[in-house]
Amino acid sequence: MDISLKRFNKRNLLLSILFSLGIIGCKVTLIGAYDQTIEQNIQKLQKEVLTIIVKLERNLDSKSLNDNDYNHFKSSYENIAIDIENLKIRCGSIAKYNLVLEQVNLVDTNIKNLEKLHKLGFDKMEEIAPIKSAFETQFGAMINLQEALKREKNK
Amino acid sequence: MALNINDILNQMLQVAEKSLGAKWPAISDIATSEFKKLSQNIIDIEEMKSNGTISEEKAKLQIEIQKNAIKTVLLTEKGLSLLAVESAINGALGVIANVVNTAIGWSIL
Repeated sequence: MDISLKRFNKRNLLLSILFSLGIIGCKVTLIGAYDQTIEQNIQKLQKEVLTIIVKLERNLDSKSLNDNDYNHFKSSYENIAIDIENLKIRCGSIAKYNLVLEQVNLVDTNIKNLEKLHKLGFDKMEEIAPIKSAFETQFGAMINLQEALKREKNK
Repeated sequence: MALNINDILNQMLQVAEKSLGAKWPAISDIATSEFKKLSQNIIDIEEMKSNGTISEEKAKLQIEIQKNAIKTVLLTEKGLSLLAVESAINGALGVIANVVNTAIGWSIL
């Protein structure tokens, strides 16, 4: 009788500890789970931004400077702005996705900076190179994190 | 005074190492190569500014783009380190699951 009571108390004590730690039956998550739609939208955004940059480079290369006028690209920037807003809403709806949302906000700011530069005009190839490199690094970093989240989900 | 790529790179690496602490060695290789590219971009912008081939307004916007790219890389490093910690905690929980379940007599972990 005494032995079974002791075992019962021991079990209750252990259960209380585990409940208070909040680790019963759950997995610890410090960052939101992988979301395929978000990764696809980041890749879509990357394609849209790099399409603008590559067009600018090609126009400079073929000396078609007038084709680099901002007005020829205005609708592309508008479409990108819509895609960014959708991506922000999606990131905001997923628990513990603040970090990814912060990355989306940074890429949004950079696209706005690119648009401001475009309004001022691009007439030299050397101006494009650092922008292209920065966007490649920025999108690369975002996709690296998405790939890591995907690996974690598939474990 | 002209900027030096190693000075910029070392400063970025010091900040990253300090903020990521013990998790830094695991991700230092990727971060270093990305920071090197961005440092070179900053040098190129500074050269354009010195040569007078770019206006101050454009140079500021260009530098802003590089700064935001650096922040994005740092956020990825932070995310990767969070995943590593998460994996370690869940791994440890997995190891003790059997011991705890046996002691309690129920499969609760």
